[in-house]
Amino acid sequence: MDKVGALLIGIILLAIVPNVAGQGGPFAGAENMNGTGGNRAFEAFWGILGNVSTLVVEVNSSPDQDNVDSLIRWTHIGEENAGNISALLWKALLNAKDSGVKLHYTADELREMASNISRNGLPPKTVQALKEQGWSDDQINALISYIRDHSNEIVGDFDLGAYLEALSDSFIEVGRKYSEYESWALEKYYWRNALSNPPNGSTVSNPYVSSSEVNELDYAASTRSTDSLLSTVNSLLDDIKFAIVDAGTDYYANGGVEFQTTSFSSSGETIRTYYWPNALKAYRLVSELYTVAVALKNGNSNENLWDMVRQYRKELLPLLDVKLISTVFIPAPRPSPSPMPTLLELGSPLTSPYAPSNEPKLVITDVKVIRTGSDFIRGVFKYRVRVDYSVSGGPVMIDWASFNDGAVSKSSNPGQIAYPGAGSIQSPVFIVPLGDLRASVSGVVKIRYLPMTSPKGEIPNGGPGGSIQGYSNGGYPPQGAPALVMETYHGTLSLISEVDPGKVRFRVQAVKVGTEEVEYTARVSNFNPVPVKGTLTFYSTLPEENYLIGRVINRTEVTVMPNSEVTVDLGTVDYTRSGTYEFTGILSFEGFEKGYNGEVTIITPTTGGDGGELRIDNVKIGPLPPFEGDTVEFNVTVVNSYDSAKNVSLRLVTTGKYGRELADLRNGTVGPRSVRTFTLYWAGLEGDYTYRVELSSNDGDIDSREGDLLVLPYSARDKLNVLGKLELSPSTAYIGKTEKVAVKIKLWDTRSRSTLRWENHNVEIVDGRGVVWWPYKGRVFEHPRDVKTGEGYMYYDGVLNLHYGFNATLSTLLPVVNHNVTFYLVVDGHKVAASRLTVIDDNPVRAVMSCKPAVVPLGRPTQCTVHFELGNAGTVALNLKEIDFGGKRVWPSGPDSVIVSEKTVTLSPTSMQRSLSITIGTGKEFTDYYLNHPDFNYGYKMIGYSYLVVAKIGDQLRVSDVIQLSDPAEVQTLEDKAKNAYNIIKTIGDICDDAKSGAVGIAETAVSKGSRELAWMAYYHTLLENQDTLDNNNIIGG
Amino acid sequence: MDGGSWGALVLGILWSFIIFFIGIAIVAKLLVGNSWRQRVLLSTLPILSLEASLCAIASMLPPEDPDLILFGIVIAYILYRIFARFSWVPRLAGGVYVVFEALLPLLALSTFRVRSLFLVNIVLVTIAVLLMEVVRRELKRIRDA
Repeated sequence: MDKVGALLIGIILLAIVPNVAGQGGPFAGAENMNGTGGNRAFEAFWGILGNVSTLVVEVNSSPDQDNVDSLIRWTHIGEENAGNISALLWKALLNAKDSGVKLHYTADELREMASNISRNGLPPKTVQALKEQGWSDDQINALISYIRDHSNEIVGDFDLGAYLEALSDSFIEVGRKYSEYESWALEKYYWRNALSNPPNGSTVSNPYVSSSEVNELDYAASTRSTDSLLSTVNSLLDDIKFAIVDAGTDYYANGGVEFQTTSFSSSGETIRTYYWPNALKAYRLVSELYTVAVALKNGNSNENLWDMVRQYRKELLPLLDVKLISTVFIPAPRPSPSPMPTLLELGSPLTSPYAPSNEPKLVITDVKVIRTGSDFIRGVFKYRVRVDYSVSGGPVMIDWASFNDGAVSKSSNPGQIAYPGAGSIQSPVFIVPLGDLRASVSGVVKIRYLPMTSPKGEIPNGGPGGSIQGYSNGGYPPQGAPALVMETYHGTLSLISEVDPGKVRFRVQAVKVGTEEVEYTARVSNFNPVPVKGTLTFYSTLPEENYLIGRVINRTEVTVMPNSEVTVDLGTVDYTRSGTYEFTGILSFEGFEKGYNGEVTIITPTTGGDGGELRIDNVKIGPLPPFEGDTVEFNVTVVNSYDSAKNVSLRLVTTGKYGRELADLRNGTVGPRSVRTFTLYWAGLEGDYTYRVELSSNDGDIDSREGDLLVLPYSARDKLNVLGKLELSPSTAYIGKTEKVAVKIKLWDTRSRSTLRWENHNVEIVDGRGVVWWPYKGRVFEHPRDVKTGEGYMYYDGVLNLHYGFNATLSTLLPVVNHNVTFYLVVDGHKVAASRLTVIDDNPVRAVMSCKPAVVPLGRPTQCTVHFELGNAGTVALNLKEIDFGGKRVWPSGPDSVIVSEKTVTLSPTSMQRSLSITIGTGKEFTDYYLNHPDFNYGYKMIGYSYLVVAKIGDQLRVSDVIQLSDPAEVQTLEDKAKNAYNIIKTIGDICDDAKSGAVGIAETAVSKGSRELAWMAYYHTLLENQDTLDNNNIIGG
Repeated sequence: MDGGSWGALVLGILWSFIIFFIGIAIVAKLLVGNSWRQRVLLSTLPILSLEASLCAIASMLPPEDPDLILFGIVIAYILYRIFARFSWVPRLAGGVYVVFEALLPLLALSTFRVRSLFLVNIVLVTIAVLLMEVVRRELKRIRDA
């Protein structure tokens, strides 16, 4: 093409472009802030190009985060700009065609045009357009004279249509160049220390970028939906960038990235690590596609572009494959952020008769309302109340929470353990009528909790000096008793908001800055047309002694302007110990809430040399409960804190009634300073099993985990409609440190859901010896002690009314005794779950007490043997100081039926193991003493309960066990009594000839039992109640 | 003896009194054919019931010998056979019932110190008095007939 031809085209374009601009054509869609739209698109082009070229040089010399971020942003703007220009040119072509502008000019026609211009000057329209562009008359005349002087140089035809089309396409190419720089910037920064040996694993579908999302490109192409195309491309870009930038942990050569996903379920969370070999390639392809999508969106209707979209889809699909490297399952209670918490005004705290004065205590800090959905048609607003609390002085178990909105009272039974720090609890759903899209809510919240340790670290209910002498309430220490806190709230909520919470994005990014230090930053972006103001609260779990506690790390106000993003520095957390810690960020804004959960694994090499640790972090078993024929999966997480990879071998050994069996064996490598999950499989016949997972490496056996597993018979699969599981927290107790364990009982009905059908079930926790630990076997004449209700169930003192298909969660605290205990969950007489409490005694003198029989028929004796073992090489004399039975001292002062074999035991290097035995007779003398000598014999009232037997040795040592008193064989039934009476009557038949034996027998029972029962109901039942700890377990004194 | 123990004892007495009273009344009505003996039995019914119930209470106190209940029944039977020998016994009926209808409420009232037991005792004594009143009117009807 010659110069004059180009000039003529320019003149034609000038005539066209203002024309279409006036119609609003292609520029109407060019709306954005970067000056990429409309006429400004052309102007912005050079500016963007300049910026990008400068940044490319800067990134090349110093690829820091700021430069890289800027380059990525500017190249992205450049892609958009290129797409816009491409669309503008295409629209110009279409407009030219539509407005009848001739597009193909032969050489003769062009020459004629030139001579026409030489003769008559430029057309007035063109002159005007040039003047608008800032041309002076002189310049216009110079142009005309240039055309006149060179008109004879025109030699060939010119096709304006083909020219514009090629120009439009060339801007797509420009977009591609920008994409190249964009991915280059990513590579320059994130792949700066790329690793060379990519990990291997099984190929799975990409968790962040699904193929169905990519296939939407095809859908968009077939329906010609530019909106859907652009939004798909945008979300693909976001997702890929998220996988690379936010989730990426390691970067491998050739654009591979290792990233983690976390998925949550009711049982816990699963962290999977993936390797994506083609992440960077996929990013580049999608950013190229972005230019095409912008062009199409803004009016480039070139069919070739749609073919390109299809082609991109084809190329993209194989790039999405990722490799699953490892799966880690971590069970964790976590605060669940929900939408719309609104802070309410609190009333003055109500005084409660049970208000906590001692530590540990729980204080309500805030009450919020959380919207769960509104029903505008029926004019009601549904919400939950969330209570934020803080606990100090030690862990407590929240046993019961009641929420009263003035009309309805609802309670929940979280059974959750609250460790010192902040926490929250949510109510069931409430309904309030809507007026004017405003809802007024008010009410009272009550929380009842049980301290898990007393202030002095004593076992709750252990009085001064460790004994309980009297029965009056005054004689009882308050520790261990439940405490109640109350709070009122009220407020009005507006249900209208300009802010769409869906347009606010919130992420928390964790970067390890040291071996134990993690730096957290939050990114909040707002795509709403209005600014968003909110509060960002950041929690993390931190190690403290034996457990993890949740702490607020940072709380800060954030303001995000429309269409922008802010980065908030949340601070650096120093985790002092190896472990997996979770973090939660909650952004509360305008009555909405967004949460972000994640976790970090810290592996600290032990100090000194190449010291490290290889251990089993946890063992997760599923399915629970297993039935005969099920394959049980043992997911064993192994932690390696050495600097080198370790070859490990895992053995699963099960021991059951058929003997010991090596169930499974796995060998593998755990990378340096990493965590890996191995899965072992086992299928067992019905019965009770002990499993042991053993970890060994080249150095021999290193670590092991044991537990109990109950395999239910195959036939029970159809018979058992209610299944359950027991969760012990903690599951390992340390003598002298752990006094109680919290037990969460989860039960679920396996039938299809129905609130109209339900059944009553008897639930119990028994140990392997048959002792009932829970529930409290309250007598019918007493007020039910433990009443819990929830969605689909109602529970009172061991009887669970469960609706079909629903589940129930119950809880209790059980005392720790001096031996391992396997707890069984028994539903309607069938064992459905087993869980073992491992008790570890790491004191210098180890003591174990076991009572035989553990289920003692009333009146018979039981023998409790205490075995002592000396852990070091000293000499220790141990004096038995006291024996408590069910919270009452029975020795040295007490009934004669408590006999001790020897009061002093001396342990020395020559006799490191000794034992002493305690015989407790449970005859009338004993029960009379225990019940404080009532006028009648109420021994039979002690049947059914379990009692904590504690032997106090020396000043510090306490050993304990739990026994249960059962109905003795000697206690006869009514029929036996009648028979006895009949025999006696027969022998004295001559005296009482008109009396009938049965009547006398009945009279005897009616008189003796009846009157005592009445007196018990009216008065004496407090004899046992006073011994209780109100823990709702069945263990008196524990 | 504290308030609770006394209240519980009275409760036991009242309860067993009612049981024996009903039991002996049934025996008198259904098993004793002789109308003279029946009248004697019904006239001395409160005395016999009280005697048997005291023995029953004694059986519940240490050393807790349940045979004391039988012993009380046997004594009651012997008392009844003795009463049957005297013709003036049925004429005592009015006085016996009046004394018992006054005595038992006093016994129940004396347990006021423990409210839970007091309430139960008042209920039981009401039943006992109603029962005695029914039997007293029946006796009057027999005598008048």
